Amino acid sequence: MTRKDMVMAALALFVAAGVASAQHPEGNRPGSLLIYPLIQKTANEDTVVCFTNTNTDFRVVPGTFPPNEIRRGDVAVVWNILWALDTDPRWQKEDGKENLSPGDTFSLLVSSLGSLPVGARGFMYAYAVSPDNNIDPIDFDFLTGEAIIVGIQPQNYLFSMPAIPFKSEANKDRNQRETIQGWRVTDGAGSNNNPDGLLTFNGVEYYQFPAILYQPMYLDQGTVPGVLNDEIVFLLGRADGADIRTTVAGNVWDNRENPGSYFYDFDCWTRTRIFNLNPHVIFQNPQRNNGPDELFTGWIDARGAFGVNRVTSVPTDNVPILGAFVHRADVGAVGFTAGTLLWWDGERSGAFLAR
Amino acid sequence: MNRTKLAFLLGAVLAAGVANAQINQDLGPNLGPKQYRPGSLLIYPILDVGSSTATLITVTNVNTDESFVPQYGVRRGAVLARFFYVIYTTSGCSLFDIDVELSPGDTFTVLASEHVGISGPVQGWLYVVAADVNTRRAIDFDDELATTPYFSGLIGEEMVVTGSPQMYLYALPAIGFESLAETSNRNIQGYMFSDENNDGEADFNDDEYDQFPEVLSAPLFLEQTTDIFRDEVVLLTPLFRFGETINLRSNFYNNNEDFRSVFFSFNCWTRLRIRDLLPFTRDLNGVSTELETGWFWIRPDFVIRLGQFYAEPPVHGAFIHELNLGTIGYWAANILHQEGEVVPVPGAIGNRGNGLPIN
Repeated sequence: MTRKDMVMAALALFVAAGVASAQHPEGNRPGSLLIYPLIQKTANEDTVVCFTNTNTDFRVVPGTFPPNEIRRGDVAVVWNILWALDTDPRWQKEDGKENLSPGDTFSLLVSSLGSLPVGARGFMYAYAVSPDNNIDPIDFDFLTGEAIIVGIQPQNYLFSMPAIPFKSEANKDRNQRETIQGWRVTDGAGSNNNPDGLLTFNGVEYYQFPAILYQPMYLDQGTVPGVLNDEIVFLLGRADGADIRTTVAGNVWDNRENPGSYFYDFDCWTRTRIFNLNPHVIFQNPQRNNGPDELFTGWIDARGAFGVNRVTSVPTDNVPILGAFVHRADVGAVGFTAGTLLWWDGERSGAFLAR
Repeated sequence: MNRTKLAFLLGAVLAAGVANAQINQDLGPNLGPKQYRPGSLLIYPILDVGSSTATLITVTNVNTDESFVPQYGVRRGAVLARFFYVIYTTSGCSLFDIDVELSPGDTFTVLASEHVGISGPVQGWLYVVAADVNTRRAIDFDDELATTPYFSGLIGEEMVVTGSPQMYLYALPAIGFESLAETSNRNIQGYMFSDENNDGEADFNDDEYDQFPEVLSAPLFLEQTTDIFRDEVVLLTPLFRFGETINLRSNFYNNNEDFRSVFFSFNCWTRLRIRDLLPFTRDLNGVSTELETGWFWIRPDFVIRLGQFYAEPPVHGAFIHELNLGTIGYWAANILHQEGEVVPVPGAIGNRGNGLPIN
């Protein structure tokens, strides 16, 4: 190895170490990849999905000319919906691509996707790719998004939740290939430009998944019997999620600091009543310990405990999950419904999704 | 690009829904009842209390460390949650606080009207500060001293429910600020006191607490075609004790990438309908028969305080989607998306007034 090679190797290691520092989703800041934890096209619910390009740079990239002119803020967005039916739990993918100009926004009514059958439920992810070739995923931390779920029949409601954004650190890896706009390709970043065809949440290609999830509040589900039906949503952040039986572990806490532990299994994605985690969400003897003003509420923590591949039987500890929460008070034909993302903390490696 | 054909599809869906609505029960206020990361200071951007509107405030202590500090009889995971209510009036904001002690793993939810003490109408916002249970001084409670990894800090959520004349419910998370204190000055539990400069304020300077964002945005609003669409933006600032006027500029985009700019201002807290803020939002593409979508960003521009000009004041807020169909309101809310950080505006009298009071 020549001295120059040694210097380059040292630099490469330095860069890799620098960009490989632990990173977690940064809440509601723009990112290069968005995950929408809840997509519904059922007889009862429809979904409006939106993604927006907050980059408003209209300068033309040198060397590009009409009609193939590319501006610095142009981006293509590839979206994938992973869905299954209650009656047919095989997981399938619906995908598409949209070109977004600088400052552009795109909204999609999921029911308008004719190839998606009524009854489809699951989650969606969307990621920035180079508008030059519509293939290379890029570090383009300017995407924000949101999903609005509309309840139709027999109840009427509307709730929304932001997409979970994941930033990329690929632009910091000078070894990584650069697109015509100057963005670096995410696939292979931090690994000496060895793309694997996956969207990897390793802190370099994209920020990592969180280590733990929290929901700050649920109402005592026994307060108004039969009316309160809060739901929790979990998804597994793995391209092979359909083959993995995932176990979520955690606690449902009441407001007297009593935890009720739970283990809950799902394949790929789930939306279930919190009662199914642990009946402790119905307080048997509700009491106040913070004064007479206190309402009877609890909170929930959750982590991806382990997963078992059905095909290979290979178990994996500490699998990466994300989630959302739906407050539901079902009062006749009116649903008082509100959605929110789960809170999170820490970082967890091991998440990857298919391109 | 003229692709968003939500037009009458969505409208029809909602209208059909309302036509079938059978309201069997009034769900009144007595129902009982780095965003999303635990922090040491939580901001709840909406306080809305009225005769038929209730706001539920929840703060949860995810620190479950039950071990006792030797000789002191205090559990390591215990914390004092100090609720500071900022009550908005057209002549300015007033402030009062209430303390609630949280055990390890405790959660506390309250009807804001119980704390405010009157049935309303009251509007404004509030913040909750993690404090030492003995001295009431603010602490860095998201510091991971807990024996179990990650279980540290406060998380929170608010829920607004209305029973009349419209029925709706929406929830949104609190805006969490981590404390970044680095001091040898610790309480008996081992947590650092966050008020490093001892000015009695939570300073958002990346030392005591996270900074405020430089730009706020919302990825989606529906064209405000008719009066049934009343989307609102809610804004707040910690600079409100010297009559400060916050000046902002904003761009609203349609889905053809056309935009209109608007300059506006507020004091302390505001809640604005975007259709009133900018008529452009009512007819985004000049085609009134088609429902389009847009997005916007808001940039806090400058503040005038005691005759002085300061750039980039701290502002945060929320966005509320509102579709008002008769007695049914389809409402949903989110915290505004954010990017960048702002350098704190210098303090005013006695270096006070650049943060939020915590004493």
